[in-house]
Amino acid sequence: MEPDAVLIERSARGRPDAFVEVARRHELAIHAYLARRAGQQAADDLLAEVWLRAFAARGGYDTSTGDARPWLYGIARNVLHEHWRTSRDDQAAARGETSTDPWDAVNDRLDAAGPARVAAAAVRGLPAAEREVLLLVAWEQLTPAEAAKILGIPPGTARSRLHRARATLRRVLTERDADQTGARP
Amino acid sequence: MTDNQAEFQASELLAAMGTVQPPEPRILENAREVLWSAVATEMLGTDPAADQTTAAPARRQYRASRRRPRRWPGCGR
Repeated sequence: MEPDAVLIERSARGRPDAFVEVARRHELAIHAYLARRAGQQAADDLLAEVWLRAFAARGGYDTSTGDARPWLYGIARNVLHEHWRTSRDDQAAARGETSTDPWDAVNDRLDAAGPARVAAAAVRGLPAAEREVLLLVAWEQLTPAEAAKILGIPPGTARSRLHRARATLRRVLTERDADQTGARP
Repeated sequence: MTDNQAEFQASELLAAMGTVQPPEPRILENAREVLWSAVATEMLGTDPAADQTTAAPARRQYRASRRRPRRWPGCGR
C-alpha cells in the first residue's frame, strides 16, 4: 500500500483523484474524531468540509510524513472550532444563550453512576490544553509527538501536558476508590 | 488502589468515553461525493486562479445543499 504522502503528492501533481484514496483510508477515523467531540450529527455534517479543506491545502502537505492522519486531525480540529463558534453564535442569536457543550455527548455515552462519570468530570475539568493532548493520545491513538504536531506545540510540551493530565486522572480515581472503600482517614 | 491500577482504570474509562458508533455508509459516501466534485472541478480545468482553493465550487454547492432556514428569536420555540 502506498503511503499517504505519495498519494497526496501525486494528487498535487496532476492526479487530483489520488486524494480520494486518502479520504477513504481515514474517513472512519476522522468521522470518529469529530463525533467524539461534537456528536454524531455534527460529525456527519462536518466530514465533507474536512475533505474539501484538506484537498485545497494538499499542496502544503509535508511529504516527509508518510501517515496523513495527524495532518487531517489538525484540519478537522480547525473545522470543529469553527463549528463550535458558529453554533454558539446561532444559539445566542436564537435564545440569548451561550455555549454548546460537546461533553454532553460524552455524558450521554456513559452510565449515570460509576467511575466513568467521575473520570469524565475529571477530564472535563482539566485545563483545555492538557485535555486536548490527553484525548488525542487516548482516543485517536496518537503519539505525544503526533499530538504536538496537530496542536502546533513542541513535543516536550505535549509530553508534560499528557503527564499532568494522567496524574490528575490517577489522583481522582485513587481518591474515589479510597472514599468508596473507606480507606481515607 | 495503586498508581498502576489507577492508570489502567483511567485508560479503560477514557476508551469508554471515546466509544462512538461508526457512521452509516451513506454518510461516508456523501462526503466522498463532495470531495469527488472538487476533484472533478480541478480535473476539468476550471480556472483555479478564480479562487485560491480549487475546492471552492464544491464547497459552495455543498453549503447550499445544507443550508437550513434561519431560526429567529421567539420563532418556533
